[in-house]
Amino acid sequence: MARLGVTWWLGGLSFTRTPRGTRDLVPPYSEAFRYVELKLLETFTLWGYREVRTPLFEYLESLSRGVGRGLVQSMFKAQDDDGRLIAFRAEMTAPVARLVGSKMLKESMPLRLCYVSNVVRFKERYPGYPRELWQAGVELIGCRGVEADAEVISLMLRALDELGLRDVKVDVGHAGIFKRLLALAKLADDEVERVKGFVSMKDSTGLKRVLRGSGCSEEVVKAFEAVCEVRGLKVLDDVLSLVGDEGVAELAEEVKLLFKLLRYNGFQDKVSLDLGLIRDLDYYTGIIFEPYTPAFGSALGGGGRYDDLIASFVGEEVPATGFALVVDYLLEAVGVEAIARRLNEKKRVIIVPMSYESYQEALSRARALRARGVIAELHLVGDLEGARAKAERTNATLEVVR
Amino acid sequence: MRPLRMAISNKGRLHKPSLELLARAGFPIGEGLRSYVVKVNGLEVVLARAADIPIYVHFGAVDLGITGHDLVLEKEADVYELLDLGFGWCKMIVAVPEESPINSVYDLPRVSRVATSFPRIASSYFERLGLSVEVVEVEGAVEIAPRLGLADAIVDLATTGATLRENRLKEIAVVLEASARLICNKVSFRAREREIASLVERLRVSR
Repeated sequence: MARLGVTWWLGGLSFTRTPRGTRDLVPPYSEAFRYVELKLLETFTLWGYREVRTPLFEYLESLSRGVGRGLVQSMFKAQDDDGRLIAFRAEMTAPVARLVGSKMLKESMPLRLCYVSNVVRFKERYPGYPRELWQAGVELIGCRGVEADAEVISLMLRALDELGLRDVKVDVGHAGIFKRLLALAKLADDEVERVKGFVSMKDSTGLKRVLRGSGCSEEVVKAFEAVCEVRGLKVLDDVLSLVGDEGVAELAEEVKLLFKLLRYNGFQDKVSLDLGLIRDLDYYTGIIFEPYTPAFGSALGGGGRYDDLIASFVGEEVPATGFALVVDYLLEAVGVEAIARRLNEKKRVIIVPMSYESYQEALSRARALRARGVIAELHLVGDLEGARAKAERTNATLEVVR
Repeated sequence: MRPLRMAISNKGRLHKPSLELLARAGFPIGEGLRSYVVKVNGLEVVLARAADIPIYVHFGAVDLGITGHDLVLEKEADVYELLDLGFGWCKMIVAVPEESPINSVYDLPRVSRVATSFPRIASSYFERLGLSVEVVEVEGAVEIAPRLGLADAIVDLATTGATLRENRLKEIAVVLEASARLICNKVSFRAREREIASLVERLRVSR
């Protein structure tokens, strides 16, 4: 009984529904969706990024490089006709890294690539969340310097601004510093997971309990507490004065330089440092970041540096950084109505031929309008009433051809 | 911009201490309120079910909330826990009938059934121990499940142990200990950083 759900009772037909977490898009939603995609691609293109496309499904072993167990478990999988496991992409960085590693290493570096692609998950991140999303992103490949991180963060802010999102804030963290601190704490694997969990909830009570429980020095405990609670560049000095580790010191300089470069772009009020920022993908090695706007309840996307991922495909070390924005979230943050209004500014004409004798005249009028960039729609022959109603509803001008 | 919004529990064991904390921090709200939203000194207080608060905060319907740590975990809400408020302490335990020969979770039948209103916490708890347990979700009166033969054991909250004794149950393991937390939406935390920081400070000193 439970398997049937309530569909039968409500009188619905199961074959007209789409699976949980998927949806159909109809106008004006679908048009607004395309508008966001095109607007993002336009900005990416102006910064020198060129579009790539990768297969919807690939071998599981390629898609699972570096992404972490959680994401691998949530991928849709199937068996190919030769028995190998294939999976549907759940994010775009691993596919692009595979593509670059296998086919594009001969190109002159740095390589700038972008994409707009759908990604799917078998298990959603949270009950009621979508299982299919569209990601628009860029990858900047072959540049180790922090100027690359500054470029992708700036580009992301620029692209969001072009969409009309003026109040975006970006939080910046550093996967390398966090990993270094974890190494200093010498934790067991399950303790690492717990520490990550507590830091991502900013729960310093729980955090301190785990660290003290595993016998960490008081300096390390305090350093993690600072990571959890202190926002802004100040945390770098706080952490360094506690642990005085050379590795951390070097990475801290990198972060300071990044913020200096972002200031050159005028983004000082948009970015803030939060070393407690944790992204749920394993491949990050350096600076990581997430954009937020008050108009949407979670991050709009995110990104960061992944210097070892391409090497895991080809053995050759290729540094890289990038980000992905979730188009579905952006649409919600900007508002479909706001975009639909922008799109509706285009003139629209409905032509109604009153008889087959006037049909040729109607066709030539439509052709002339379209040549001028006006949307021209031919209505059913002789249906003046229907045409009038439709014109009124769609805010179009009516042209009757007798 | 709209005032900061905070959800607190509208009944149950977290209700009164939450009201008292807010009053000490300078946001006095009369008791016995019927309405869902109260404005007090520039703060919008939303009265909601404790179990729904993690979801409200997760989706940003409210910026902040006071609810149990256990509920944040159960709802798998992606939120910040900014303060341990100290009150509302409770522990989540595994219990079986008093007369049962079972004295530890490892004595449970190889394939057993557990009734709980915390299915996610219970499942991951037994999974971590490597025990195969079927979890049955019930909304309330979990304690009667073993008597009815619905389950071999229960996972439920126990503050004093009185309810357990009344229902002739004994505790065989502690799943977790939890207290009330101030939780915060991750976007609000950034978008309204200063306002939230000062509110958190007021609550911190009034604890």
